Amino acid sequence: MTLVEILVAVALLSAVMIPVLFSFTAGSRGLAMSAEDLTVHTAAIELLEQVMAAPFDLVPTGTFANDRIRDGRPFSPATPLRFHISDVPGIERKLEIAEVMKDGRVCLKKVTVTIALSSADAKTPPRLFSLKCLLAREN
Amino acid sequence: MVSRESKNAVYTAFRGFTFVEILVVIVLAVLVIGGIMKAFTQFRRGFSQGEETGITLQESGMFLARLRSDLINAVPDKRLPPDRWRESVEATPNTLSFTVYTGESDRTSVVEYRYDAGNGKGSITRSEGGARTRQLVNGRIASLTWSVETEEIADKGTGSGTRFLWIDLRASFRGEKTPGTKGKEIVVATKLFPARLIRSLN
Repeated sequence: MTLVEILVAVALLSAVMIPVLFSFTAGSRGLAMSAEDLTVHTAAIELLEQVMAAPFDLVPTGTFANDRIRDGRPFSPATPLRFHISDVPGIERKLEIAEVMKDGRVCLKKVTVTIALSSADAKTPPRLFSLKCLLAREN
Repeated sequence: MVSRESKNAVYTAFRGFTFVEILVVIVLAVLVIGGIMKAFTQFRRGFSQGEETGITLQESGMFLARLRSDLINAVPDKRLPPDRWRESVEATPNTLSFTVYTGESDRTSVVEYRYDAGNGKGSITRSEGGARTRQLVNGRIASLTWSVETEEIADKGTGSGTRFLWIDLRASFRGEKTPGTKGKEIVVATKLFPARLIRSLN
């Protein structure tokens, strides 16, 4: 066995091992993303549930950006409802509420919650997660 | 008699490795085997941590989903007078209990979540109607607090108020089945709104 043969064997062994190590890295990344999914999903439901629990007439329409969605801050001057938000670092929230009219009357309100999760790497764009629901007038 | 030329020919044809060649091969073998062992050790540690994180994610997700599902079906306790609506959900540092409507038997029953801190390896069990106890999280809670928050806002013109009630939950989950193999910490901070209960209160 010459030195060249040994070097070739070492190179082949390394080439085989690299994909194995990469597969593990991919698995770790998948787990990290699952943990992030739980965080954004929980944040989205938190915002959506409080809108769903509010009386239909008190739910305001409009778009609420992240800087307006703060714990204890009113939704808008038109309603006494206030946001109740947990402090979760690294996410930005957006709430959109639109009216759906039928026979000149607001019968539904379409609620969309969007959560943007910023990445540790500044070059990677934030991951977006949305939840939507319709609120129906019950009376 | 063998001549010097023929001796040299035999030596050249069946020459062994030189000392330097053997040293190079040993050094390379040590480097390769060392690298593989290190990678394998890291792989095993990473795999164990990943497994811990996966199970913790599953159990924490299941606990949140179960609690949310119960709160969706939460209803006011009929035995409570109207002015004590804030007690519809009772929370102590170790227990969280409320009444739920069970569609299966068309009746209500009390659901209780019990937190056992367990010296940094906390667990949560859920029981319904004082029976059917089920463990939701097994030794994977580093810390947990829950509290019931309420708010009553005045409606313009009607003179009445709108009542709100929610559960403020903060928990830190982390698995350590094998000592020294901690999974990734999963922090949950959320407020849970029992929509059906809130609607019933108003």
